Amino acid sequence: MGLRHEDIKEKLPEYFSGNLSHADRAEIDRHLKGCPDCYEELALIAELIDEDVPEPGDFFWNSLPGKVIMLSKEREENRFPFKLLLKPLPLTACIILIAISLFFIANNGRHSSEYPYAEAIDPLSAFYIDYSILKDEDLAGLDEKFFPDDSGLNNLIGTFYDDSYHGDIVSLSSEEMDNLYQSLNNKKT
Amino acid sequence: MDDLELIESYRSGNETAMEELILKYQKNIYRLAYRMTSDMEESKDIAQNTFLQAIKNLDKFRRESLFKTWLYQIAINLCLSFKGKHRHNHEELQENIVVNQSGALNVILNKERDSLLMKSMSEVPERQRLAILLRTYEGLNCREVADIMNISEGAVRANYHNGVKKLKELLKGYRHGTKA
Repeated sequence: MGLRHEDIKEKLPEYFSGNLSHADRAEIDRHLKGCPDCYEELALIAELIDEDVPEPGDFFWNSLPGKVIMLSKEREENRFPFKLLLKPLPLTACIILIAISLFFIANNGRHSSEYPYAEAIDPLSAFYIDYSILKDEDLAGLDEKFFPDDSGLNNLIGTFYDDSYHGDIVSLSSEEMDNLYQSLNNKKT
Repeated sequence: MDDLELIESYRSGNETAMEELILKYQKNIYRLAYRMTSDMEESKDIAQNTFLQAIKNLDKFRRESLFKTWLYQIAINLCLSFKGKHRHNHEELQENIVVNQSGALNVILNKERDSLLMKSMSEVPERQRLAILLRTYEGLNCREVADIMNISEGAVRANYHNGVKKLKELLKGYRHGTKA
């Protein structure tokens, strides 16, 4: 059965490169004589194939294989050995390292959530003051000197042991704040 | 030795086998790259990087496809990536094609016909141009081109015919002066 016009058009690149059976070639030869469309397309293929491509020169062609092998070796050497990480010892070390890091991260997070005032890095925060060095008599002296009338301020000092006194001051009403200010001024004079 | 034997030989430590493979395909890869990029230096780099990537990913090479087809796939991806990076320079590239004719490359590309062909080819849509390049210059059949482009054989035929049609129109336009 003969080849159709479309089939022949499709085979023109193979016809040009000589990759066709003798029978197909003979049939296309016959078709080309009477088909200007296919002939024009074949001429275009010939033109395309004839198109020049600038040659980089023999030095490039001769050195490329060696250069590629050398570069591939270099890259192989510089590559991070991910496969090595899968070996038991490095893998265990990595897991331990990650676990330790996670422990510290988790611990820090809890720390800051327990002491909300400390998050502001406030130097007056009770969290940053070491009250353990104070003795009872130190506080008693302080108490007698500034708050001899056993006012609410003594209770306020008592909270130093528990947490930041900022929280207590912030919770005072404006009236209590005025009283506090007044008391401090009176004691000063 | 055929390609697969050379690959096996290289895998067992024989570097000469890989050198032989490179020698066998380096010109095809370079020419394909040049026809896609119209840039000689870039084509040299693409040729080199094609083989480097091939060596690096040799484990991923499946034996059901030809090594040549696989190499072309790598080269085409590198060319497309180059074109993607230089898309904004497309106009400049078009100009260079013509400028180079009358410049240093004049010795090699001094024919107006080549200039028109390159200019016209660069205006053919990417997939169609690729189908023409692989079918005509590389002499690959539709099945092989389909493997490389990762499309069906029917799509290769359609791309090839539409590309040739478009190329003919563009060339006619340039030759008859209806297209500047």
